[in-house]
Amino acid sequence: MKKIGFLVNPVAGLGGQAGMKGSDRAERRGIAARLGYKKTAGTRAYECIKQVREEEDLRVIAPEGEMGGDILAAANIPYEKIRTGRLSDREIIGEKAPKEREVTTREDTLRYAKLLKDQGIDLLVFCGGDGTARDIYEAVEAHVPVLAVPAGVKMYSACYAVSPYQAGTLLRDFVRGRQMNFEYREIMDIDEKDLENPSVSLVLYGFLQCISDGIRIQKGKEICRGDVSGREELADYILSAMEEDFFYIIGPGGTTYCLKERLEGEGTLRGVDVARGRRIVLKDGDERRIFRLLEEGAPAKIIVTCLGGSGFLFGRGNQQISPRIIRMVTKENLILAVTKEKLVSLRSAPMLVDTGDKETDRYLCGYYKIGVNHHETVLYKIDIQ
Amino acid sequence: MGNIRIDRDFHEARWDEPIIMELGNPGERGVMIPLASDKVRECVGSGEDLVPEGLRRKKKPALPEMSQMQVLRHYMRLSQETIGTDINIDIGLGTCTMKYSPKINEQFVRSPELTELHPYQDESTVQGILEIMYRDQEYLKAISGMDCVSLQPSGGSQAIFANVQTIRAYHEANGEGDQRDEIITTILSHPANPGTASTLGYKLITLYPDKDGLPDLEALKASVSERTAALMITNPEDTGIYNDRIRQFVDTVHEAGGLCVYDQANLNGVFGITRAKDAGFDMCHYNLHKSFSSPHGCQGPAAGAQCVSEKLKKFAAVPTVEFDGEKYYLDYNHPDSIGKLRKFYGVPAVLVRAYAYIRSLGADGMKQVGELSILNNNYMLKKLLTIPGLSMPLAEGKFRMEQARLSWEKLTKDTGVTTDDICRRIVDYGFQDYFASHHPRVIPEPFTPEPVETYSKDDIDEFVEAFRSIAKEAYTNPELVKSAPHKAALAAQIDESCLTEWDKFATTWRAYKKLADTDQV
Repeated sequence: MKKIGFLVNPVAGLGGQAGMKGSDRAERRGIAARLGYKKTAGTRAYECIKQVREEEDLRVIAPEGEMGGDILAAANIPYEKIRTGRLSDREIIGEKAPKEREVTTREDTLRYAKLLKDQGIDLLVFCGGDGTARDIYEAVEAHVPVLAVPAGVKMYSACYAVSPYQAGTLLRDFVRGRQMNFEYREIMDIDEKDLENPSVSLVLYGFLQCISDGIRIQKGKEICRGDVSGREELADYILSAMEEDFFYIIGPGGTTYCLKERLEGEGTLRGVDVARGRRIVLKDGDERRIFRLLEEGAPAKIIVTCLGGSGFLFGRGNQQISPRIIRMVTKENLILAVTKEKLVSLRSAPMLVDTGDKETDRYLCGYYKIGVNHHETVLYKIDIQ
Repeated sequence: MGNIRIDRDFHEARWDEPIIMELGNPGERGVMIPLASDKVRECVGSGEDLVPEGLRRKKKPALPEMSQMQVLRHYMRLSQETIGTDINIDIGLGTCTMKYSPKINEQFVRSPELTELHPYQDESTVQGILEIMYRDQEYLKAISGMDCVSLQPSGGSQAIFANVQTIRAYHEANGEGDQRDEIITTILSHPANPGTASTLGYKLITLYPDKDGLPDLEALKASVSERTAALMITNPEDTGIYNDRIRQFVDTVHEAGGLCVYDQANLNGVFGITRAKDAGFDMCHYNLHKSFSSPHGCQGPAAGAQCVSEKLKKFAAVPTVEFDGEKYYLDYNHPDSIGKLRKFYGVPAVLVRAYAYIRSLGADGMKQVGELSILNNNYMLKKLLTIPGLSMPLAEGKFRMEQARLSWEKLTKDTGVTTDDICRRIVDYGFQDYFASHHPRVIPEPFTPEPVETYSKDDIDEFVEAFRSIAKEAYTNPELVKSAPHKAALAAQIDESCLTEWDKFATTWRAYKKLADTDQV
């Protein structure tokens, strides 16, 4: 019998489509919510947990409400509410759970993670982004094995499964007692206060004890610093091929920023900008404003780079380029701005997509020609794991 | 157990010798050239008058002024500051195929019969060297299975250049010259392949390795089209992994109408075992140095051989050497040829060594070269991979051919000591620094050893033990490795940014002086 702790940060990922680059700060979440963006973490958590609904050798412990219980109920998985250590065994703190407070905070994550640890769970399944991973680390350090379901915005850390689906298959294997190894994997994040500062790099916060799986657990983001000339060549090449009439939706990252610097107007390092006629026409756009531009009917292309190391093209820090935008632009108009050095950092693994929509992920799979400079193209694969 | 030592008290001679431009004194001379006699001057005029006005220097050239003895001493000292192939176990220089070059061959090469030849001599007076070249061509035809061989190229890259020119000539003859503008190659093939193709105006498509460490066949299928001019590929690549799908690669490209070119600069892994023709290739090239025993290019003159199939024969570089039953002659009669690549007819010294090498081995001997190279390599790998911190990524556990690309990644993570540190430290053990990898470094913290057929078991054991010792140092005293070299000719570590950052380049003394004057060095 496996004892699983299940904890969802319901607001993780909320800032993604809204172009907030993260959801750690309450005011960002407020803006995202006011703009009408929906919480997505619950859906992604469901995508994972539903895969163990047939399992019998399983006890799930979770907080009530949107931090766990609601999702388990939707998946028809019985669960025990978290008990506090200080009160009697039967007493439940669920009544005071955040479901009545509407807004959850990182203190809830910290508190529940500690309580779950105290109850001697075999594995802590948590859903969120890099901020959530930091909270989990603060609460349990590397003392509890974890399975991280990707549901945040950036997710540069090395603890996450490549997709909620694969997190589910790992969980199922774990519950069934398959032989598994655990290893310490890095928790990395950018301090969201410093998001606008282009020189800020990733900070290593600590290590969580994660399932070891070369395919289903993603690699951490790697910084390819030594490749300045490669980036510049690439930016020159893409710039020279840009056509006047097209909208260019340009994703975040150092590689694409090199291109943005060559355009008129100011682009953002970590946001999605739209250019036309070699001029930035929409700075740091959110999903809706980008979509509205497309609705005007002009042809468009998407320029994105992949994360060094993990290889994610979509679904890690660029959720503004949503499945419906990708479908509208079509994959034929996808320009992959990836240097040779970055491809090398993938270690023969394909580039990955995790848009949140399985159909779109499947649609994007296949081989792509990646122009790396004026003379050279690389053939490389996009896949879902 | 043989005679293995890892405690040799080796150190390179350290003379702290300035470069020659900094030596000498004004007016010092090596040779005093006497003035011409009055009679000669009367007839010819002054030396300056012989040079047209526009070609005359305004200032004297800034050459070092030195006497013979000082020049000799300078170069003797420099020669003591190198570790040549003849005094060290040169296994570390993978992909360079540093094999023993039999010394008897030097006697042929240095004999007046060869050194006194002049390229403008009449063919009837150079029948000997023409016969050797003709026979070289015939042997290389047999070794490659191809139908025509040109010995024109003066090195491996020039042979590749000739092959790319031939690709262009072939498609142009078919009226597809403009349409077929893409050449496909792999990230682990020698950079001269994309380099020459790009120089000649082709667009490149690069394939990356898949999980088996082989170029991704599906990517190839997705990349071929009516624009494909050719596939240029190595097998095995630098990783030493034999590509057993090579026939599918060739067939895929042929179906799309492209040509297939096999880079066989390093033949050692398949020497006498397989032929380019048998895998369906249209062309290949050999480096007649390396595989055929002359020391590798940068350490001696090189020679390349362009080998083409029947349908490409008419495009091959000229001249070839032919035999009409009575005499050998240079044949320029290839009207569709890509032409000459350089002056004269190849690099005779290397061609003579290759001839002697082939003759001394025979067909069975050549096969033994291949087999011994593979055996040596796998013996070495088995031992190397017991060293803590060293691993062999891509197709782990699979046998390699003649060389392998290993990784110190774990050692770097554990200790902070990188492959570049180890590369400098190995010099302190009396080995030449090793070859890490071509760029980009597909394998992190790379190390590419190649124990060719001429190394003994003892040699390999000593080589391995030296690296085991360095790994131990890395785990116990990493600073010792990071601050290496300690016993090399150069006491200081070289600032490599001067090699990688273009604004720090100084390829001439004058450029160096300019940078030095502005404090940029």
